[in-house]
Parts: sequence; C-alpha cells; structure tokens
Amino acid sequence: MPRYWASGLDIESALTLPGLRIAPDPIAPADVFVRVGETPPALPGALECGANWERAAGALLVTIPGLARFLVREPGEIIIDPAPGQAPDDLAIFAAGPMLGLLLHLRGRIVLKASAVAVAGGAVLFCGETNAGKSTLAAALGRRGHPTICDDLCAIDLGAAGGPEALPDVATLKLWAQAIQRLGLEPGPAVRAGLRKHHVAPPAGAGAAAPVRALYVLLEARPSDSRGIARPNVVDQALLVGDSAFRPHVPRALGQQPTYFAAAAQLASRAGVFTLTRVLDYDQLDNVLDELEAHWAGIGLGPGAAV
Amino acid sequence: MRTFWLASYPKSGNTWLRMMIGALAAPDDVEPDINDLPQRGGMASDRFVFDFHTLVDSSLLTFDEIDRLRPAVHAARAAGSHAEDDKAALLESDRARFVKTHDAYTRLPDGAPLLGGRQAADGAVLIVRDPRDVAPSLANHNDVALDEAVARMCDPTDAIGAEPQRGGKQLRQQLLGWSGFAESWLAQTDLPTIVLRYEDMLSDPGAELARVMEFAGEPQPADALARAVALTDFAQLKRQETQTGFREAPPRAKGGFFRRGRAGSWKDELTAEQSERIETAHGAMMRRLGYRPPDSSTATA
Repeated sequence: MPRYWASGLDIESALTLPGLRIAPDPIAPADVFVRVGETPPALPGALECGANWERAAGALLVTIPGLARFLVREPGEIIIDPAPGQAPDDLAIFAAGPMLGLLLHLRGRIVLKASAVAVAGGAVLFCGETNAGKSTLAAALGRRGHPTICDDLCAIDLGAAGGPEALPDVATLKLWAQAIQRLGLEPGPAVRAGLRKHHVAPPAGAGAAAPVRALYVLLEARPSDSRGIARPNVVDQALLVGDSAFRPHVPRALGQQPTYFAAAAQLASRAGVFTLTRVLDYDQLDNVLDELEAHWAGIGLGPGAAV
Repeated sequence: MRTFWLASYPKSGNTWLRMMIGALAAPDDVEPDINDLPQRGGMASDRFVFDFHTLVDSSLLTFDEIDRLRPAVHAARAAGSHAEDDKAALLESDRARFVKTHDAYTRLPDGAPLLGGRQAADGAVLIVRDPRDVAPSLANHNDVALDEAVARMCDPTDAIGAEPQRGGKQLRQQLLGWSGFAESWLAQTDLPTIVLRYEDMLSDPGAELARVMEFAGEPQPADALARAVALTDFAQLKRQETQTGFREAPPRAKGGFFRRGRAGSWKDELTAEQSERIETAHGAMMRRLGYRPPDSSTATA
C-alpha cells in the first residue's frame, strides 16, 4: 500500500492520496492508516455535535450528505465510508486534507490554515481562510524560486531545536483554473471529478521542514483599508495565531488553548506575526511579491538568498 | 438564538437596513463608522461560516454538495452551538440576529429548505425595490452595461458566486431573477415574513425600522429610532464612503456603493426599451408589490 509523509506523520493508505509526498524508505509501522470501510451513523458517547459532525473522546465523525462519512480516530485512523454510488478515489482528497487536519487536532498538534514557502533556509507562512489566496501566493513565490513547504494546512512542531518548525505536507499546490491560467502554470489532475480546482506541481519544487521565520495573515484590502504589511501588537499577534488554527473551535473544544498560546508566543518572539493586506487582483500580484521580498530583507531574510 | 433573515435581491437597501439596525446599538456620543458598525449576524452565504461549521473545505465540494449541507449549517448557527468567535457570541447572546441573504428561498430535491426553515430562523424581512431602480444600481455595482444588468434580472437561472473556475468569499446564491426572488420568499410558509419596500424606507425610515424591530420582538423607543435614522442618513453614508471608503463596496463599483439613494431615478437612467423590458418581464410581481398600477398591465408608471 502507498506510504506518504505529511505533517510529520507516516501515512499508509488503501487509496492513492493525491498531492501528498511519498514517504522516503518507510520501515516502522505507519502513524496513520487511511482505509475505506463502514462507519457508524452516530458516535457512541458523543461529547459534542455540530452541523454535520460529532465528537467523542478521541474521535470525530463527519458526514457529507450523499457523498461520504469520515471517521477520524486517534492515534491514527481515517476511515472513508462512501455513500452509495460514490467512488472512493474521488474522496481521497478529503482524507489528505481536512480529515488529516482534524486528526492532527486530535493528536494535540498545532495546525494552522496556512501555506508555507522556503525562504533563506526558513519557512514563511501565509495564513487565511479558504480562497484567501494562500496557494496562489505560494505558487507565485514558487515562480520566484521559493519551494513550497505546505499548501492549505501547516502543522507546526514546537519541539524543534531551532524554534517552531513548519512541517512539510504536500507535493502539489491546489489551485483554481483561473489562478492556474493567470499564473501561466500547467494544470494537473482535478482535485475531484467535476471540480475546476487542480493539483499543480510547485514551480520551485517541494521544500523541507524549516523553522518559521515569518507568518503573514492574509487580508483582502477593501476600499476602506490601508494596504501593506503591518506588525500588530503582541497581544493581537497571539490572537491572530489562535484564529489561524484550522477550524479553531476544534482545538478550543479539545482544551488546547495553552498549546496555542505557547505557539503564538514562540512565533511572535522568534519569527514575527504580520498582516498582509492587499487587493485580490492578479495584476497586482508582482507588486505584492516585491513588497514581501523587501520585507524579508528588512527582517533578515535576504531577497534571493539561498533557499 | 432568535434569527431573522434580511432577504433581498441585490441593491435593494439590505445594507442600509443592516446599518440602521447596527446604529441602534452605537454609543451615544460617537458618530458610528460605516466600516465598524456592530454586526448582528453577517451573511448567510459566507464561505468561512460554512467551512467553520462543517469542518469540511467548501472548495472541495460541488455547488449541489454545498447546498445539501447548508440547512444543517444554518440550523447549527441559529442554535448557537459554535459561535464563529467569542466576541460575536457575546454580542449576539441576548438579542435577535439579523442575517443578510441574497439566496432565493429554494428547496433541495428532498424538499428541505436551503436556509433551514424554522430550525434556522424565526422570521424573514423581505426587502424589495422597484426593479427599474435596481437595474442601474446593479450595473454600477457589477461594473457592467445596463443591458447586462437588465438581462440578469430577467434570468430565472441567475446566481451569484456560481463561477466554476474560481473560488470566492461567498457560496453560490441562487437569485432566480428579480421576480423569482420575491416570489420564492412570498410563497414560502415556513417563516413569518414582512415585506419592506425601499421606497418606504426612503420616505419614512424611522417607521420602517420600527416595524422591523417590532417584528423581531425588540420594539425600540422613538428617540432611539430617530437617532439610528439620523446616523445612517443616506448623505451621511455617502459622505463617509467618499472620505474613507466602504469595506463592503466591490472595488469595481466606480460610482461607489452608496450611489444615489433615490426612488424613481430610473426615469433618467434607463432607455424606454430597458424599462419596458423590465415591466414586461416583471409586471405581475411589480403590481403585487405596488410598483405598477393594479388595474393596468400596459400603462407605464
């Protein structure tokens, strides 16, 4: 069965997990097993219920009507239960993305909604919600020679010697057709049949784990906003990191605020938490990249330095 | 948490009404900032809210798959089980939420209302505006020609956020055309609904705001209503937008978000052909809402 390496976990999967990196020389048993199987319609002993999900001790059950149920269990199990008529392969992207993110939460890891690129031996993170432009920015920076470390989700290792470290996950970026066309990239396979969002090879390849050197929260400049890069006060930096967690209410419910406060404090002091407010306009993208590179020079991450 | 939909076809006064409601809670001695009014509910089609509540990534789902999850999302949000942030939870704890929506009142193939029916809301305010005035405002908002705006208003399959090649901050919102939108809300019987006409908001904003707040079970004293109306006077909004910009204005709207704020301005903005096209396509609903004489199907207003 294919073995993958993502967010510091060795993953054995019954399905091909498109976009994840192939594990280098797996020897020990995997940390996570992804398989297709039956799941219960409800979780016994549920502690919490949401719109389409339930949480019990160490487990989350997520239902997408007419598509699938997903059971995520610690320490390392993701079960895909396709609805009648649904092809399991078309559901693999959920296991490789949001379900893996939920498993990381259950395992007590810090996981941010972020993409990350390698800059001068460090990692630069771009945090934001779905469609905030994270992958587009990572792809555009790839064209300027910065390898991609993560796309969409970024797990942070707080125990690394050199400070909080961004753990690599994907082998591809996931981009909408419009972004691919505007960036002049080659579309790979669609992330799901019928969707015009595609896997795209990172223009500068895949980056390795690296200490976080800067974290930018992506904001869309509206007519009333001033644009550019700003460094909020230290309290707001901590809040921004907490809000950038993947589905932030899940770690809150799991009582992980202290870990996130610790992460925020470390990121604020050892890296730097910034906001990047820009107009969502492809014609302005090069200006944003120039501004970022100038900012990196200012904070000791030299432009064009070895990556 | 009591929830009320503020449902409207675009460019019909929804934002203005939300600002009036927000201004009711503004501090006494400070002119409220149009970019920082207390929000009491946000927007039904907010992609972030959907992703937050479902744990899934909406950009991995088709439009129809998203729609199948939306009733549960709206119900969960109304139940207040997981507030999107603590500040919002605090603000909304004991007062009605007013949630903007441009979704027509549609049903899924199994009959479930997209917006979750009674499980998701206690009532709805349908805001309507003369479609002949909507057209120029829509053209400005979308930076398109008037004919294109008119064509969209006449297209029963029209939707916002339905471009398959890109994401966006909003989920797909099916409009069903100008008549179709109003018809969908007027025909549903799941929710008590009041109709608010933009033109009545212009002529007596205090009375209309009072009606909305009474409907929501939060009647307001006359001085509070008068103050909220004064703070959100059209000239005031327009002046603030000119000075500082308005964060809800699309960058493409060259004439600003708050444009003219008048009733009947279509008479100097639409060609005879354009107004006739609207009147022909929407005559029945226009008569129902008082925008055409009830006893005539051909005379122009």
